[in-house]
Order: sequence, then C-alpha cells, then structure tokens
Amino acid sequence: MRRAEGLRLGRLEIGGGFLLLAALLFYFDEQCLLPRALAACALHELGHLAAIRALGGRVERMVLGAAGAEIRLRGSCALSYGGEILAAAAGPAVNLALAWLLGGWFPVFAGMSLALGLFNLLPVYPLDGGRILYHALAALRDEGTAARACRRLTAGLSLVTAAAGTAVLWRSGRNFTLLLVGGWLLLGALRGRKRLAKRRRNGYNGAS
Amino acid sequence: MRKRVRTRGGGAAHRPKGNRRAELGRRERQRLLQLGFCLAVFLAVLVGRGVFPGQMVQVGEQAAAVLGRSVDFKGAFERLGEAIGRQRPVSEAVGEFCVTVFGISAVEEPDPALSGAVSQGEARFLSAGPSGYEAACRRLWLEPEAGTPAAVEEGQAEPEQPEEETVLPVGAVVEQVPYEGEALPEDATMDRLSIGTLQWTVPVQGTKSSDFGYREHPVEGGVKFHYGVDIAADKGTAIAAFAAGTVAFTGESTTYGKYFQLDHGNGITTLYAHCDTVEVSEADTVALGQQVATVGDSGLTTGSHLHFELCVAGTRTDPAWYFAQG
Repeated sequence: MRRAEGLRLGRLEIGGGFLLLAALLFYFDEQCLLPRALAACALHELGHLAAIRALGGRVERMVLGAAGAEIRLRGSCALSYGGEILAAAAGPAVNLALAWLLGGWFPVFAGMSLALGLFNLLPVYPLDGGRILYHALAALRDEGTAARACRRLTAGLSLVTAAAGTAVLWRSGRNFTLLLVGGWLLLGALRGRKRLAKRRRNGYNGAS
Repeated sequence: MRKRVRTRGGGAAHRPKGNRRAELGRRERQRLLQLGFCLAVFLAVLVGRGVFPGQMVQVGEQAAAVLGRSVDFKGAFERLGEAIGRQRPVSEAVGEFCVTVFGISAVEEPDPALSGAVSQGEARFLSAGPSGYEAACRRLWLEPEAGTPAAVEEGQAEPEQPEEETVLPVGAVVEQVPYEGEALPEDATMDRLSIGTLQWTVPVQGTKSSDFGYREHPVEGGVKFHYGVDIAADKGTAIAAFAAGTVAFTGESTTYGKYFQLDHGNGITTLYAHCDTVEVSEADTVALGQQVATVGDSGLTTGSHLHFELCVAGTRTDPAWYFAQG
C-alpha cells in the first residue's frame, strides 16, 4: 500500500505542488481564465478515464501534482500497447472535439480546449503525445528503442523550448510565457525520466 | 549444538521495531506539515488575495502588469475558438495564437508603457529608442508653432491644418492600431479616428508626462485606463481651446480638480482637467486657440499639468497622435 502523496478525496490525490501552482495562477489570473482552464483539464482527464475503463483497465488513483495530473492504473489490469495509445489519445481527443463543437458559442473555452489538446499532443514524454509515441515505438520495435528515442526527443524539445523562451524574454524584455512552458516541460521530463528508464509501468500523465 | 540466533531481516542494521515506527511517523508528520502549508497558501489566495506581505504584493502586481498587459490571453483564446467556430484553417489560427501568447515577433517592441504597436508615422521616433520618442514629442511641441499661447493672448492664433489629401468623415477610422494588451474599456479606442476638417491647435506647450491607455496610476496605484494625455507645464500657463466650439460644462471634483468640456460639433468634444483657473462658463462660445483656462494641479495630481481628452462620437482616442501629425 503506497502512502498518500497528498490530500485524499476518494481516489483523487491533490499534492502540495499542485496547490501552490494553483494559488500562483489564481493570484495572477486577472481575466478569470482559471475556472475554464480547470474545466478543460478535468474533461481531458475524464476522457482518459473513460477510455481506460472501456479498454478494461482499472484506475487505482489519480494524483494531481505541479507537473500535471497522473493516472495510476491497477497493475493487474494492464493495457496492450494499442490500448495505451488509445487511452492516451482520448484526452486530447475530448479537448479537440469540444473545441470543434463549441467554437462558435464559447470561443474562449473552445480556444483553451484546443490549445490544451494540441499541447498535450507534443511528442514530449509525460505528455499524451509522448506516451503515444513511446507505445507506438515499443510496439513497432522494442521498449529499449522506444525509451531511448523518447528520452532524447523529450530532452531535446524541452531544452529547445526553454532556450527559445529565454531568447524571447531577452528580446522582448517582458514576455516569459514561452520560458515558463519550457521550464514546465523540463520539470515534467525530469520527473518522467525515471519511468522511461524502468520497465513499462502503467501510468498516464495528462498535462494540465 | 548451538542454537542458531535468529537475526531480523538479514540486513546489517538492526533497529528495534519501535524506533522504525517513530521515524516513519516523523516523515509522515513532515509530509503532512508540508501539505498543510501548501493547502493554507492555496486557501489564503482563494479567500483573499491580499494575504501576502506588502512587498510581495507589489512585485506580484508588477509582474502581473508586465505580463498581463502585454499578453491578452483571453483575447488570444477567444480568437482561437472563433477561428474553429467559423471553420477557418486551424494551423493559421494556432500560429497566430503562438505569436500572440509567446511574443515571438520580428519587430522589436519599444517602451512597455506604450500599449500595442504604433503607427508608421511614429516608427521613425521609435528607431531612436523609447527615450527618442519622448524627446521627439518634446521637440515637436516645444517648437514655435501656430497657435502658441502667447499668440493666443493677442487673439491672433493661426489654425493648424492637418495635411491630408482626402479628409475622412468625422468618426471614421483613419488608422487601425493593432492592440495586444488588456481589453479596452468600451468608450475608448486605440484606433486613430478622423476629426474631419476641424481646425485645431495644441492646447498647451509642454512635456507629455503620461500617455493615453493603461498605466500605473501615479497617485492611487494599480493599473487604470488613462482616458487622455497629460501635458506637464508650469502652473498658470495658458490653455488654448483645441478648436472653436461652445463650453458644454464646467465643474470641480476631487479627482479632476477644476475641469471643463468643449463641444466642437459633429460629436467631437475635448475635456480639460486639473486647471488652476477656468476662464469660461457654460454655454460660452470659444474661438480656436482662445485662452480658456490656465494649467494647475487641482484634483488628484502629482504636479501641475493639463489632462486633455479627445472624444470623437462618444469614443475617447489618443490625442497625442493628432499632435504628432500637426
């Protein structure tokens, strides 16, 4: 029995890092975007959960951390590579579908949903895109190759984004959004490295 | 035969059961404390944003103002959503979104206090840097021009004619200004509106001390929209009527001090505030360049200046652009 990493609310665990990040975002949120953003993230995670359930997997718990939400499956109900790909794709799929359906009526929410969905499809490991890539490569080749390729791609893209973010901040003197995104990717990459290095474990990380 | 002594666990360290539990308990307690702290911070921010110590609030506001003002996230998301709603090409919309949000642009943006991009005419000032813009404005306004207050006192002001080949109707947009900051109030625009063939003059010669648009309020603090332009000048400096018209109203308030508004017809009005003396009364007719008041520091001010607003068809627009044209 693993000990709790945060506040437990049934099978949901809210970590301290998540609370601090939420507090920070809420503090700076002058346009009241946070509630809609959280809604988009929640629906994204629900997409994952629904797909996992439909494919026969069972969720042990979901942990909310500073680097996003992580769904931990019960080891006994493992998914095949194809299943993992579908489950990982379900989250962004929900976001994109919502964006497409609600574009005309709720443009801000639709825009956020689209941005979230596309962002999650980036081929960087803890994100859904990275997971899809990993499992696809693992199925086509083997886990070792998949892990290597994903590690390199993740490290490379995170560093490039962080570097670009620094360049933008340097030039504009004030826009540090890209740098924050790069930093966040690096944080997630560092945390996810352990998973990539070990044997395939059942876990999802939907970026929030 | 010797009895084999059983050792626990086979490991080197043999801790008594009680101690191990105590250690785990300590770690658990530490985690709980950390978690409790994070939860407390979250609730504090949720319940009242003003729980942070004063300095942090300032830093936070500065950071928020810096990023919030330069990137309108809500607008960016809105445009993205609308693009999908209207079935427009997504890649284009996403590209635009990235440019807006991440600030990737080819053009170097000048002084962050200026909101949004500036018109072509002002680009030459910007190449000299932010101070170049200020200096150029000063140069423009301090040069002897038609309709200086001295000439006004003698009643011989010469009208300034904006050199335009075609004159757009009053209220039409002469120039759209791409604006990427905080959402504008409904009665203000960054676009340049036409004032038709109205002959006008600069009301007072001085240094522009505060621009039109969002700014950190000098007295109250916080980011507020500045509906006009501030021109610093010595107390008692004569203020000329921007154009011919009638006095719509005069008044006095704790914020604006001694103020009055002129109506120039066709929906064009100008407002003058923080005056020392107002020399006209309601319903008076004024001529272009006529001395109507003197500069002061009445109301909520940090110094002697004229707060000048230009309103075209109910929308406030940036007067500085007109002065630069003239």
